[in-house]
Amino acid sequence: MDDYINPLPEQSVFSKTLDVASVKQSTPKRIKIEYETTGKIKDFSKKTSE
Amino acid sequence: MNMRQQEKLKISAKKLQNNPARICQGDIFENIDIIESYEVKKSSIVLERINFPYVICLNQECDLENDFDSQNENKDSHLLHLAIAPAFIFEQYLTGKHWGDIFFPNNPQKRTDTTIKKIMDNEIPRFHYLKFPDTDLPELIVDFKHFFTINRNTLYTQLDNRLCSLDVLFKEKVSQRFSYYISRIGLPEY
Repeated sequence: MDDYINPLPEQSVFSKTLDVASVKQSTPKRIKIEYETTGKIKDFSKKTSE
Repeated sequence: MNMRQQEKLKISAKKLQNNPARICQGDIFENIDIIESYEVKKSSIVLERINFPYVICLNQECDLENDFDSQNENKDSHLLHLAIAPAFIFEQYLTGKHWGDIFFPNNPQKRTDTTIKKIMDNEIPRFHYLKFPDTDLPELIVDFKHFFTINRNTLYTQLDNRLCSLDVLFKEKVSQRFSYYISRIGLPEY
């Protein structure tokens, strides 16, 4: 059997480090935001003729 | 070797020293948002989202590799969305309040409870316990009952949020246990 060669290219950055003490209270949070708009609609999927 | 030393050697996760350039199976991200809904009103848009402190990627490694390698090619291997599952801080899980205000809290549990011992030994199919030898990562637990998708490009724009990539074997173990749990058959009780 051939030796296993890790095929993944690697970034130069190391894995992030985490301040474990500061994350002990992290839980998922539901966030609701209302964005005000001008009311005008622009459909970016439709081609516009100049 | 005493019990304390044995406990220290008991790991269920190991991270790669360097993060690969692409998203991999078993990558753990922090601070990831999932859109729940949006509603267009007259002159406003109401957006509901959930922010997850940690998620883990569940896609197959070969699919992620083929997707990444063929981005500029016309191949039938592009991915639209990626499968991820929330990961919780294990200490928080023990309190039963790991879902925050999203679900009602569960009963608190102790590390000495039989069920928790089984979870920490990865003997309960629903859960995957991750204990790293590194001190910069907390103990995490993945509940395979919960998983969702995130747009592939959206997750790539948040590559800086990746905490680590799991090493080979450890990431395959997550995938294998997830597929086992998700393919279970619940038989009726008579």
